[in-house]
Amino acid sequence: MDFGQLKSKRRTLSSAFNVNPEIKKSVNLDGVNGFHSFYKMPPSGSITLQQFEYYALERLKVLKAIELNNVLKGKKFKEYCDEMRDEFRNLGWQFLCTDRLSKEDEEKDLVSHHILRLAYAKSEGKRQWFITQETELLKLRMMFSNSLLNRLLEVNQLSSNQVPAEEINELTDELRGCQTGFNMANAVYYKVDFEEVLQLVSSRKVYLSQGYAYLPASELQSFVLNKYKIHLKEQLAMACKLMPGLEEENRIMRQLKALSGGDLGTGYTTKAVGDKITCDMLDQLSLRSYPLCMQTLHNHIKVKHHAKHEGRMQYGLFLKGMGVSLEESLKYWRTQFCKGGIDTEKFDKTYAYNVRHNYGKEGKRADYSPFSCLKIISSSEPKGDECHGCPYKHSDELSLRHLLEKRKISAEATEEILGLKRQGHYQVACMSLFKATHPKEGLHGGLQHPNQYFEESQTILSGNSETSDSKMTADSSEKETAGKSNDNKENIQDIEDEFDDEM
Amino acid sequence: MAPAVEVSNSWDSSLMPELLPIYYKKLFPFTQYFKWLRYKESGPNYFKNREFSFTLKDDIYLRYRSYADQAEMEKDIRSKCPYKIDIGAVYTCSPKLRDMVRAGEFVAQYKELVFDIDMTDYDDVRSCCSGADICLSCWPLMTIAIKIIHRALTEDFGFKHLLWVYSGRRGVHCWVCDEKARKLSAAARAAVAEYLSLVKGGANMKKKVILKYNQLHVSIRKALEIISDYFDDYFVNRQDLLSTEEQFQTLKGLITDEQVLALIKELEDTDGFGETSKLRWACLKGIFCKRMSSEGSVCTSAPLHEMPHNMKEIMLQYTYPRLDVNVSKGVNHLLKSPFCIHPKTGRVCVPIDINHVDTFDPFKVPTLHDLTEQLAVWKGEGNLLDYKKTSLKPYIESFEKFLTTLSKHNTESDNIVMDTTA
Repeated sequence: MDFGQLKSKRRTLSSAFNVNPEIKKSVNLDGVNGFHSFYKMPPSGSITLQQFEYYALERLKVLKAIELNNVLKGKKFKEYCDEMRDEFRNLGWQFLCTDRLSKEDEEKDLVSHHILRLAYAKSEGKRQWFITQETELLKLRMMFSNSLLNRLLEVNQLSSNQVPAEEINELTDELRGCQTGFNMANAVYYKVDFEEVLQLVSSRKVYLSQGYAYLPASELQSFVLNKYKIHLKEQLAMACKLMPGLEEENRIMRQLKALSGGDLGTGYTTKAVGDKITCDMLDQLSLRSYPLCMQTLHNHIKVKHHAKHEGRMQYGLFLKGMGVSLEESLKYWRTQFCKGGIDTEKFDKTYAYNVRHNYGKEGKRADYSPFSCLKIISSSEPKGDECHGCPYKHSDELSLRHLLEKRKISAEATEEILGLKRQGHYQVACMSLFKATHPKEGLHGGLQHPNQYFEESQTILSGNSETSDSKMTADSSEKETAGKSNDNKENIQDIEDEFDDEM
Repeated sequence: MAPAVEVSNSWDSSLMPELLPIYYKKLFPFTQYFKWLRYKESGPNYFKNREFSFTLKDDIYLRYRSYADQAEMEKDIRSKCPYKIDIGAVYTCSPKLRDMVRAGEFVAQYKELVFDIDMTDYDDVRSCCSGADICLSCWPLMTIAIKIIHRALTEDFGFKHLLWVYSGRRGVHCWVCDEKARKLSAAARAAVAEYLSLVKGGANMKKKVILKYNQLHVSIRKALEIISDYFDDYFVNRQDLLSTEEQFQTLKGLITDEQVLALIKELEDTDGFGETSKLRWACLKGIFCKRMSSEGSVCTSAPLHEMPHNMKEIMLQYTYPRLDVNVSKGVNHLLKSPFCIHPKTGRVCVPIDINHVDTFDPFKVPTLHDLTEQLAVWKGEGNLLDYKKTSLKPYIESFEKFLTTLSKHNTESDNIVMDTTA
């Protein structure tokens, strides 16, 4: 494919690659010493379709590796870095760990980034996934390279905002309160608009005065990452807007679509709704096959006959994911809420809409997917007497212990789970519960989704693993790619699979 | 124990259809309201592209209403007589014309940075009432919240134009109207809201505030100074929050400091804590003081905000503001407009003067019924503006004061811009 040609033929593609003409003027095409600062430049020149696909696939493997390791992260940071360094080397991307990039590496880096940017522009979920992994990649590259951070700071012209020593002196108490290990002697601070360091603002790790954040030199990295995130977000939003103009270029669109596959963040598609599961079966099912988060919600509703909005979303979509029909769902919620003193009329007026909305029958009629573990862990935490969320993350130890006691697992398993909770390995903790409550081995290839937990549990408990109708991407990929990929590591097999149906 | 009764001005919501037309015809401050939302300096489309939404009788909901000018807005509001008006975002085009532009071109661009604090979120730390009910025993929670949020927004974030509004029933709203606030991205709004959120966790998280040992962010330190002024009175006198064994256990469950736990045990084995909130709280404070002395600080009666960090955590869990962050996050999120009538209480959503927040009494806020009565019995001068004949007057004046600073500041900043370009 010829990028140059495409550019003249369809201006949209080039503008999708880089939508801001001003940036084009201000940044040197050669980038900063071999590293394209924030990939502001769109690539130009020609590559073959094979190369297009190859580059993109390769980078996707890198990003997938990052995602996988990030989820299981929790080792010492150094170990994590070492592991990632090995990982990149195995994938043939060792240049990510160096300062100097060859011409070829540089092209690979730049082109693959921009192709994926297009591929992942389509939906909010995909954009989020892409941004998360790319940001983590830049973070790792800054760890590996000694000079990268400084070069990026130069580009961002930060040195002019350094806080004078006298001012730091006066603010000693304030600054100390924001930072562990604050040391007057070598305190260097930069004054930046609070909007430039949102992460530090939300975690209260920075001193704020009159809208300015006092950014410690030690946080410069996070500053750069935040800027990068914002930059990507803008660029992806723009690319998304320009995508319709690309639709005619069929070959490319097909590939781009295939590249991003299903929503990688969820990795789960709702099963065809059947009438297999009725709401009077839920009590029984919840005892052994529900992950702890859903069991907690189920029991909460059973006792209180009510749940707040977030809880209704989390559990309601899970039920949908299990294959509970809309009618059964409505019946379940109505029965429960009516026991709690809400009459049928009020239920139909206030809550039924929500249930139908979840099934895509109201509003913009979107077919909402059940929440993945990642979403449950990272999105809005419960407050007050709410009990949605992930019990491994959102419960204190004592409450979690009580919850586990009801599952009647061994003391050993309980301690193991509590230990994992303490270290922040929430999904691994959940897998341990699965292991402790099921015969046979644990879950296939990690736990990403409550519905995956449920389905695998059902498969094992019914003793019928062959006819599993689980639709986890990870699962199906194992079956389908078995014959094809011989040199790929397990953790990236699913990437290949996502290509199969489309190309 | 404080009386758990809502001092309620009798209100019958079936009066709404009869009284609302009078309110919108004679009392609603359209001129000031328009002056506010027009944001003169922000260009002619600012008002035109603003979304309003109505809730009519029987929960009929009308979204995406918008107006060219004040007259058009007045006409629509008077003819529809909404039970509730919500203010939404300023969009890229006029919301009523949204079907005429391509999808993706109708986007929420600007909105005031808003905060919603709701008494329902405090149910686990008040003994007087629960849910939508409020009383004067729990209202100090709102006073504390307003003061803490106001200080942080003005001092830390540098915002100048904050409009505090009583929501009419069980909470308060804050509208930050500075130009910079109106332009904030959703991510920035979320970050500000997070910065102001400290109490975390639901039913399965008993200890909801965890501070780092030996490190206290200045915004929390200042919040504690504010809380200190209220805590004893609120906790002991108004709420009586340690009178039952269960309440006492709940509080002890928040203590993680081993030394303090040992001292508690010691006291329980000897003299005991006593039976009342007052005694128990005094004993606990004594124990925390002792704990401080053991660290080298001399302390007989330390001010509350200088207590050991475990004590700080406890005070924060009981009184630190609890925001509904989802309201703040979205640029397109709707929020009930000031000067609406709350259908359930009949009270007007009036501005709260930050300088007199301590004396603000939600039960003295005029109801729609009060106002129409006052109009009916008015015997004074004839050519007076109608609102001046009623108890709505001080609230509208306070709103006007807010508008004066808002426009003065904006003209000033205009001049500065002109100076530098000249």
